[in-house]
Amino acid sequence: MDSNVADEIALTWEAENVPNEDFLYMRVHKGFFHPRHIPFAPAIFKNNGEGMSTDWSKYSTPNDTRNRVKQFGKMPENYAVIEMLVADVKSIENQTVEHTPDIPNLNRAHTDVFGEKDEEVRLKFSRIAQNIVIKLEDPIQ
Amino acid sequence: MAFERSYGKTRFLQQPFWKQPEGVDAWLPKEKKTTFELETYIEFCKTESNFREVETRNELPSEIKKAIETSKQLLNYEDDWDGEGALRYSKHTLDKAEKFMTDNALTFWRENAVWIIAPDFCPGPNGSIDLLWKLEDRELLINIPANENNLAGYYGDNAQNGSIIKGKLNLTEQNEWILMWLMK
Repeated sequence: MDSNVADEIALTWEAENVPNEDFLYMRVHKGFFHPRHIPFAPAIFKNNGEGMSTDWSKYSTPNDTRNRVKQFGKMPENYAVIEMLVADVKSIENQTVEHTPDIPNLNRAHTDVFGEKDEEVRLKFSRIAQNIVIKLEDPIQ
Repeated sequence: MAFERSYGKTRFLQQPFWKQPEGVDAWLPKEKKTTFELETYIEFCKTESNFREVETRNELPSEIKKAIETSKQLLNYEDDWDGEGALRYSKHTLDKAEKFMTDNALTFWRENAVWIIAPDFCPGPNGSIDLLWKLEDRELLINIPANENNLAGYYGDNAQNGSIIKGKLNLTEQNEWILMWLMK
């Protein structure tokens, strides 16, 4: 993309408040679907750097979230997508939701969930993230 | 006196009117204090209907064996297996997780004559392994670290009675108490 266009975009992608009634989408790699009795391992709820990366439903669809891995050279078919209600995320101890548009990767939906992800937090996340909106076997769209 | 040694591997369950003397791995009726009296009482009790004999088992049940066998798939995960820098799982870490599970499961069985429910061995963060139990009203997550110097973190809650446990475990110690919390 032309750098002037990118600069123009950077001027307009302000961080916004994420309403409680909205959803966050998150990719789940197929390797986390190993357990016998639960949909996926709680370890998917981890921080990458400062926070846990998700996409805000205002600026992304579940398919967008899945397909976004292509720009990093990864295969979308290796990922499912789950959704979490923002209100539920905020109800977990010490977790905060902040819209953090990823300008370099042109992802306006990028939203971080900040807060330590210890055993308690991971277990509670696994309870609120039961809805797999895109399954591994779903075709790429 | 080691009660079990006198009677091989047969384990006798505590009866309501018995007590456990300090330093003795056995149960004695309150009025019995000497070895002779104990052996005599045991012979007497074997004929009584309130006496139960439980054979000690050292072999894990099939459900737990299956969970352990399935967990070995974690060794197939390589570095960056999730595309976001996840570490592989070492045999050493998996062995620690299995040892924790089996040692405490066997101890729990010997104390209670009940086997624990098998956990899920899940891929954990930073090369660690999660042991996860999800029961109808209770959940427990124990994280077995890859780093030898780290303690194992745990969290559990019971939706029925509201009890919560959270903290760190030293894997070199006996920790069957945590399984007692899970199974009660």
